[in-house]
Amino acid sequence: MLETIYTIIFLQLLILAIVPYLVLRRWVVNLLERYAERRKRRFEPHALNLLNDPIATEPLERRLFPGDRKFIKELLLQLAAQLKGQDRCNMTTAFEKIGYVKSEMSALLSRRWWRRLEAAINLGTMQSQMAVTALIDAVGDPVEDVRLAAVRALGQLNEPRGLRLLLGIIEEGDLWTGSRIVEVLIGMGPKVTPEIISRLEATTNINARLLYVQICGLLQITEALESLFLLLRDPDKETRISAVKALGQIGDVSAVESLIISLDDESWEARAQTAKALGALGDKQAVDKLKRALSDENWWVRHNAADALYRLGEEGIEALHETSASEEEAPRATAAQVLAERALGV
Amino acid sequence: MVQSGGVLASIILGFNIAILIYFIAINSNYFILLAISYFSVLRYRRRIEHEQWRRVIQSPLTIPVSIIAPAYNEEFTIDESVKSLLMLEYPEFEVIVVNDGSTDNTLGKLKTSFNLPPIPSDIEERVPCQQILGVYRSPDYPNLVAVDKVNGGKADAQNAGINVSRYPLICIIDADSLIEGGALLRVTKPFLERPEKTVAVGGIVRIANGCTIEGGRVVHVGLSRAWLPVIQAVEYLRAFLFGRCGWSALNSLLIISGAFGIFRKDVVIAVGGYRRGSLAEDMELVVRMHRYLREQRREYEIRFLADPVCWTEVPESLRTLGRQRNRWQRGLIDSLRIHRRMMLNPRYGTIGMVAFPYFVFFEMLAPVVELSGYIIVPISYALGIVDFPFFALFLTVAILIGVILSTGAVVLEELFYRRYPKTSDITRLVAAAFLENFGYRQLTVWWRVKAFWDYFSGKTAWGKMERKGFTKT
Repeated sequence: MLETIYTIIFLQLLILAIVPYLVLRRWVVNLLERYAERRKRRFEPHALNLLNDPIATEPLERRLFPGDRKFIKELLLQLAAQLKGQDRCNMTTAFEKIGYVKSEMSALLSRRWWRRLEAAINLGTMQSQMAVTALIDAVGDPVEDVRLAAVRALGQLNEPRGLRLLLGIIEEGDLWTGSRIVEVLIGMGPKVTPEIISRLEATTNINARLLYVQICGLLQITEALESLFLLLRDPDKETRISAVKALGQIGDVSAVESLIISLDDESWEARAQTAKALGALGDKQAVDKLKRALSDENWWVRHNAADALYRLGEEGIEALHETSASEEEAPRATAAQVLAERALGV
Repeated sequence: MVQSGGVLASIILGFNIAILIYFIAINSNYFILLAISYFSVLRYRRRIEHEQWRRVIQSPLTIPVSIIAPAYNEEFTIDESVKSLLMLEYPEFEVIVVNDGSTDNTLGKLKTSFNLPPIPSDIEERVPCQQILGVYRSPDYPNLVAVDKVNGGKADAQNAGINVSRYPLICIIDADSLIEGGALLRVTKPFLERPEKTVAVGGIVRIANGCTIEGGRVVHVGLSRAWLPVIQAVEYLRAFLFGRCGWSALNSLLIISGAFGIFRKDVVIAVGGYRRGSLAEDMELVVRMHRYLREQRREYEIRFLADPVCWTEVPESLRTLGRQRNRWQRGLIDSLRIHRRMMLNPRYGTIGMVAFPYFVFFEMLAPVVELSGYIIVPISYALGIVDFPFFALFLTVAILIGVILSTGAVVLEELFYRRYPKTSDITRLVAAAFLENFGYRQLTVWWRVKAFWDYFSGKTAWGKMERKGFTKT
């Protein structure tokens, strides 16, 4: 009985403690947020001045109140994220001069994974070449989020050593990590082309090949056309689908003949993707074959073929009108639907 | 404690002990879930704290989503809901509003507000649904599709939406709910992170009563002046922030709210879509997906995330609330009965051995046990089997533990989300956590117990939800 009474007293005290705790915490948090905003506003003119004179860091280093260093870092990071060109370079110089790059590099070794994550992200924004080696080391971090943040940061640094490292991870890593690297490589632009083509031809890893094909499509690498034509006959369905998609994205009409053959692929996903790619290429050679694809047993193939025909212009639209008046139910309905949708502009 | 002998007294005493054991077990479970949720939310918040969502939006690798909103007699809220959906921040998505044979002017309102002429359509029946009467598309809103169909219930309308949808992910929402701008982006993140494993993700449902809504968006978060929605706000925080977060961390989530969930379409089609006529089609689908994927021995994840937010209006009258709770309970019984084969079946892993028994004993049967307690414990006291101090102390401990658990959910909310800007809202939530124990809780127990009778006597009606439409001020 006595234990129960103690339990009740304990529970009551707990509830009585929680309410003031919540209220007090809310008050303190609001107060700190307002203080942080005030301090940031105080330093804002000096931060903007760095864009003209990146070594004029003295007013920012002359910190007066606790937490100022953190507030200044946040302010500069917010500003840096919006900058390009020379302003961006000036901001990097300022980060280095005030010592933020060094402190974030040290933070990459922190025991707390979330601090390492934050440091990797910040170093990406700071874009200092000083951090390359530290970020390369961070790519081997035990925590996936930190690894990915380091990968992204290396991409932002646009550093050749980083490129080779990223491509190495594509060969060894999983699809998710690989996809994030694809995003980084796309951001790096056409300079990745020679390396991608040589790896696309050499790799035996199916996942890596899919990612290289994806990059070829997204960066519209015409030098990859011959390799992609070969992949249209690959035994792996996913590879064929990716190759078709990439050919559509590259947009070179020399792919039309090969794609017309792919419209007979045994996989409906590959046929549907092929129809879409033919629409993107816009070559009228494909009209007859696409019109036949309107009778495909799969809804997606029919719909993509109808959509592609519309995109091919007059001859394709004519083919759609003919089909919409035919007796075969599925092709008629698909053609009528696409004609109606496009007439509405959707 | 025991003051009289005899067989009856022994039975009643045994029952009292059983209730005590049940009480300890259920509350231990709640505290474990609360602890798991705390660490799980903490980790998640640290992961996404620095996420650059703008970059995710710009990524060419995001997966297109078909948003399916079934609507039945929603003429007061449909405009705001569709507007909010069309304003979502996401690279590629379509909004499919399915008018499930409404008897009011839902379709007319849609057609007028969004300029929707009918178009011919070629629809493949991937999952069963009632006849589709028409498909409407708008020249002004290219990603909006309205579907008119013969009434067949919510699950049937969702299936119709699946048949019309074009993208690999389907997001199921209630037409009377509002999805926050960035919520779709956040809720699809697990599909980008683990595309081979993630099959479904649910977001949190928050209460819109008391919030200011403009142009289909919640512009100011607040609590209703009435106590009933505030008590429900606490209930929702408890259910989502520590219930679903905890189960999600164990990959044993048995329910994704029908108000806001996203699924891989191929898996939904593989299991046959939503079960038509079901009273809790959202839970039933998730349980069936678990069952199917476990039987296929596939590695998969069904997750809950607490930051993609969906706002919904909750009942402000006891009558409507009673009908809603009755239907939820009947749906729970129905889903668990259909898949009873999974109960304590090691073939289904943690789902069969932990989550399913938990839902049977501590969710489905909880109101029955609680009502029995309300009856037996006073009888025991009247017969002198338990003495007054024990009776009073037990009742006090039970209430205080309930308050602590609810307050725990409010603490999670305040630590990690702080969606209620006014300090007085926090104190009102804690007050509601206390007040719900006096009357509200007993009423809920009664509605849920009555649901057993209704279910086994074959009542299948959904019950009408009265809506007044989202307020603008």
